[in-house]
Amino acid sequence: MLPVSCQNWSKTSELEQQEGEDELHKASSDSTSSVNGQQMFRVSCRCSGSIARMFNAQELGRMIGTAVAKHFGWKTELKDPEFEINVHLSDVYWVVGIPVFRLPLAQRSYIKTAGLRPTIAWTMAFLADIKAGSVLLDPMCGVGTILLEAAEERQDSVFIGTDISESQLKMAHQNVESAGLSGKINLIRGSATEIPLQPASVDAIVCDLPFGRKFKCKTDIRTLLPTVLKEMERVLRVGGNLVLLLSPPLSVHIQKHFSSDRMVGSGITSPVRVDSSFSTDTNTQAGSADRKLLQQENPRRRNEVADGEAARAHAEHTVAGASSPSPALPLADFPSLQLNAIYRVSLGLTDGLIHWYKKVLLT
Amino acid sequence: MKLLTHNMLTSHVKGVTKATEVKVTDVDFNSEFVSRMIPKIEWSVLVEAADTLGHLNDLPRDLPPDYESSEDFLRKVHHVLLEVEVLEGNLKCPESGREFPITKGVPNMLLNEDEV
Repeated sequence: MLPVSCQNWSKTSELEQQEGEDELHKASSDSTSSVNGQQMFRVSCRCSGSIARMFNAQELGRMIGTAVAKHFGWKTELKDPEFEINVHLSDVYWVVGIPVFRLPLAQRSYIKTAGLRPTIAWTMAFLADIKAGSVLLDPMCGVGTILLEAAEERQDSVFIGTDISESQLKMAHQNVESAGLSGKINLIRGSATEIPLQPASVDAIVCDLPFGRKFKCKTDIRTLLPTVLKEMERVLRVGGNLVLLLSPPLSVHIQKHFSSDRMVGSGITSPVRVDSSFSTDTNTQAGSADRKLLQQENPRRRNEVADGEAARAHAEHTVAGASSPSPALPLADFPSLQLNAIYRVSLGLTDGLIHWYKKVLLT
Repeated sequence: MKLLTHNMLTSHVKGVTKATEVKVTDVDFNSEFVSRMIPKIEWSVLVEAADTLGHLNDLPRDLPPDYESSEDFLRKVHHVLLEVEVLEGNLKCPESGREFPITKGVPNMLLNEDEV
């Protein structure tokens, strides 16, 4: 893992260094705060995933800061730096960057109170891939962050949010009003275990399931999960996307308990992807890092990905003459839900996993 | 609760809509959107709900076959689907008689309060 990360690191840092220097030329020309031409900077470091348990972010930030200062002859200034270097470490990437704007990207003018980080919410809405005139449902909408992101992007669709908490819905209502989206977003108080909508009535579903940290259910979410998934499967129309945000344990739980082993040998043509594909890094190193990540997360799936070719050959051998092979793994208890991909995303202190399913017609 | 939302609710609560406060707000008209929504809704349910609220808006009992070409018709449907909103009232299940309250525009479909 580490060598891969280091290669990424050196690649990115060269690039950033270039950009950083350009920026610095501009900054220094009209800056008086530089001491003897020294650049005043600070490093902000953040770790997520299992790597967060190996490194202390503050300590690491200090070490990087010292190294950068030594190398470039810059001066660390924690309180009022001329610029900042952000370093984010996850299990897959080192991301190094210099913020250009004062406000973070997740700051939205149209969201009064954000629940989920809006950039992640946007990503989920993007994966839901709704067309004009569609209906998007969030059966655990909370303050409505995902719906707001989706509705902001697609004004020509209908958005329905249900939640069982009155206080969350109240905030969702305020959010929708202040965003001027009350014509598009409709709120219903209801339980995700009994979604109050007709079968096949929605074109896509997005849902941030409680991680058990900030939000908890009375009953363990793992106990509720089969009922919740069954309900989502029921109200989603065939061809529609289901996009779930899960905590790492819940992601493993779903894959362990609901994935079908039977399907492994019966014609997998495209291995399940696990990546943080919202990074622009497309080099092959990232791909191998993904596989490593996948191995950690689900040893059972390892063979499908690492030896995708072998698995396919095996499948062709064992089920010779079988009809059209299924393109992706369905969930055993929810056969119409087929997994498209899993993406690991950083939520700051913790990582989350976006599971992306499509409802298919069962024959 | 807009009548579009009402139309998508599970069938057992779609029966009777009683409203003590109805709000009508202007929503931008998008003919394409309305034409796309019409096949997805239960027409008779929409007509009945609109009628109960006194906002039938001359909608016919049967959906005209060439509705896509009539902007006038689409505007009427748009009004009923998206602009008429029940702020306070309740939904009543025609079979069990159970009522589901609508407060500040949000229908409460929880069967038991202790689910929370």
